[in-house]
Amino acid sequence: MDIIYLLIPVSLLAVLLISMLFWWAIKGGQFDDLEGPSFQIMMDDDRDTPEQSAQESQR
Amino acid sequence: MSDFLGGFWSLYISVIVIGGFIGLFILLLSQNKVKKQTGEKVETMGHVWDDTLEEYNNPLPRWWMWMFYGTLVFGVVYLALYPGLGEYKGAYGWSSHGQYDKEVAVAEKTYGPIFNGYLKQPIAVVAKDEKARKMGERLFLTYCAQCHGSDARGAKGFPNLRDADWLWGGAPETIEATILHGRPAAGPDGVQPVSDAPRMPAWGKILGEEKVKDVANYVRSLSQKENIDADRATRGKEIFGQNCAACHGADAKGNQALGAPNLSDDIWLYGGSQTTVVETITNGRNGVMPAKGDQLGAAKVHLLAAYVYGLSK
Amino acid sequence: MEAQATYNYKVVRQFAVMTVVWGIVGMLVGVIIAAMLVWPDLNPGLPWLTYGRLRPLHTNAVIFAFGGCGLFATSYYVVQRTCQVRLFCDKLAAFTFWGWQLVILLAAITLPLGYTSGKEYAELEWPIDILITIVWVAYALVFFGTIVKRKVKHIYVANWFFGGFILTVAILHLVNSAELPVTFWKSYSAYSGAQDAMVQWWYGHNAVGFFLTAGFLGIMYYFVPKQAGRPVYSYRLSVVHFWALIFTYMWAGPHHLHYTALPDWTQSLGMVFSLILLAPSWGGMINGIMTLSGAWHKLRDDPILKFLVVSLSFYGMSTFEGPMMSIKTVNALSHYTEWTVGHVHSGALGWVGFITIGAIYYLIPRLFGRDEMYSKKLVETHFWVATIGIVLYIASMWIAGVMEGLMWRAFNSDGTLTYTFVEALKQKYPYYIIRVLGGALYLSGMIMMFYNVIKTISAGKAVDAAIPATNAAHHA
Repeated sequence: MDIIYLLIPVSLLAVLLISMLFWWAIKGGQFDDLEGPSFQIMMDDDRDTPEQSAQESQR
Repeated sequence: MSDFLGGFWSLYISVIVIGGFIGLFILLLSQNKVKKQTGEKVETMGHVWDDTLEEYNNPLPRWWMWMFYGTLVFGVVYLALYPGLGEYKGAYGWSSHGQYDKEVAVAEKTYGPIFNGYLKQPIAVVAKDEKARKMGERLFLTYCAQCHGSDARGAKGFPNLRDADWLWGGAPETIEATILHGRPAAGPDGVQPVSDAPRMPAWGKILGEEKVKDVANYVRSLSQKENIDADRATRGKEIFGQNCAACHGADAKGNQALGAPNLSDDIWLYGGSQTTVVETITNGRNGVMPAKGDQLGAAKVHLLAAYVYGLSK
Repeated sequence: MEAQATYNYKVVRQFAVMTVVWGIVGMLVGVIIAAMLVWPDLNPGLPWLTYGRLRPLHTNAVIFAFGGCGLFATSYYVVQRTCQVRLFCDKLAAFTFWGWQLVILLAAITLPLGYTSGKEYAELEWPIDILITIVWVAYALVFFGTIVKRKVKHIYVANWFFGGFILTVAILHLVNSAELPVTFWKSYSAYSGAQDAMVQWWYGHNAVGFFLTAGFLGIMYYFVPKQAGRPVYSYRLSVVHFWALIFTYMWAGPHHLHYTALPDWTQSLGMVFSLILLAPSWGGMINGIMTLSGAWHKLRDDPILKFLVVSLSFYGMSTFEGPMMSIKTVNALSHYTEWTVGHVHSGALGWVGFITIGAIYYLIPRLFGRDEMYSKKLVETHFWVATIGIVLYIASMWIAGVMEGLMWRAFNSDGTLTYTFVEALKQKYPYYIIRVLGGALYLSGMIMMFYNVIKTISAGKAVDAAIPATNAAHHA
């Protein structure tokens, strides 16, 4: 099972990378607000932007 | 366990695993918030959200958290009892080898006597015992049917065991030896035949294409009438006498001591067409019956031998 | 200028359409090999059409062609809309599309020809592996490049899932596909024996975990709230279960190798972490289903929402079933039987298939300037036909699998086996026929979808939505 010596460092590296991302995310304030973002995508109307309507009417 | 040369790697694995558990516990604990008070305002990113949407401000579902904790606790207990943390053997001292050995020992104790009872009887007697025949049949269907077929009538390259034609001999003791040691008999490792074991050599390069065709015609002329080239058969007879008779005999009736088939009957292991016989002579044949003695033990082989012996009676 | 900036919908459109096309191809091959198990003489004796060559073609086509194109399409759409910025580098994005299609095309040619590295779900030979690597790096650049230049400070949770999927698949692919080429179309794995098996299933299970779970959870976290018109039930839960999932999934692989030459300790760890995965996996299901609570009435006349909700149900079911099957005593019964096949397909047809289909139905009208699909009724029909198909498929495989497992372990009073292998095979025959029927129904649903998509496209016109400048400025 020498392969474990490769797999575990690789996994560790992944964990390290993930931990760094996690740390960055927390420090960067990504998780300060865990409610607002869910509403944010709801406010993004991807069906009918004014510009798009304008394009449509020009046809 | 040879997978770890020293305590270091064992420690390495254990630290990562335990660290992983602690990390997950911390992640859960850090989120252990109770549901917010009703009426509390949602103040996020300076937006005023529609009042009806307030209900979406939800903490982690409690039952979900408890389920998560539950699986973590299970993991801790399991890894304390069973191997998992590197070299640590677990409180139960369980191993898959140990489990196997134990199960085999129990089976041996329970079923051993049933089989061993027949071991003392001669094969010819066992073959007439109905109960033994049924047991032999089940063993045959489990261990032999893959090659010889469920009906034991064989297939291309695998002998039909229901006829009276035998490559290595059909006496009860010979059949038993065939199953125990394989054919050609297994060498010192109990599996592979020794390198100089008798087998049908490749004659293509030695004889050349034309002579192979001649011999094929001769051999087929012994049991067939159609599609025989008489000239070739005549020439082939002479080639046969010089090269093939040593094993298959001058009369081509074969030699069971060497497993050399009888070529004068119309029974073919690989097929009796001109093409197939030419192929057999050109490239040789290396069919092997694997030794079953180590795997099944003497008692089961005894029952199998009796069953096979009974088939052709 | 800023007001006229548009999103890059072109690459989304291309991937979205190809998702449907490859879906039909992959599922057709699946139905053919299912039929071959019932009628082995179906192959007219051509080596290219033997079961052993078509099966990897089926798995590659549905996972990497259908699923892959679906992930590309949705991740490109979601990352743009949630970051409120155009995709990073149009040319690179176009390269990922054409590069990925080339990979699929090469797979469709080499696999029937018999070129294979022999590793499950990673059968493609080394030149294609290199191409995959290049395309994947380009994908990562486009995706993370877009994140970097985002105009919204917060990175929406769907992007975390997509990002995790992209990064992990890169590592998995590189490690598992390490191989020594001997000729242009033949290579040997860099590992051997039990170690090769360990790497194979470390890859294999993480492919399920990150390609087929994390990636598709990204789809779920955008399209379920959007289609339901309600925000995610608990955003906090989505973040917590994301991190828990990422931390634990890496360990689960050895449960594919219970009771084999793999050392005992590895098997134990694989089992324990597979069980721990239950909660992180279910986080997504709870969140998706609860998002709909209070909006159940919408289900009645919204077939797209039906696809999404049923996909979550199958997700919950198969992520419960998976940890159960990883328990050694259960595995002793289920391993090598049709139960495994049923389990995989409840995840594949139910979860992955339905969430993708739902997302594509959501996207197509928006990408082609229509209010909705050409025929809503046909979407509804697709839903019911496909659902019946899945139920037939997995129910038949469950019954066949458990029956087969019980037959294999049955023994007589003298210790001999009660049933031979062939007897168990014979008993499975009727269930194989039901499976073909289920698969054919699911395939016919995809064909309806194709017709519906074509009709919607031909009635519409490609639209690149403008980036809402005011909104973006507000969040910057």
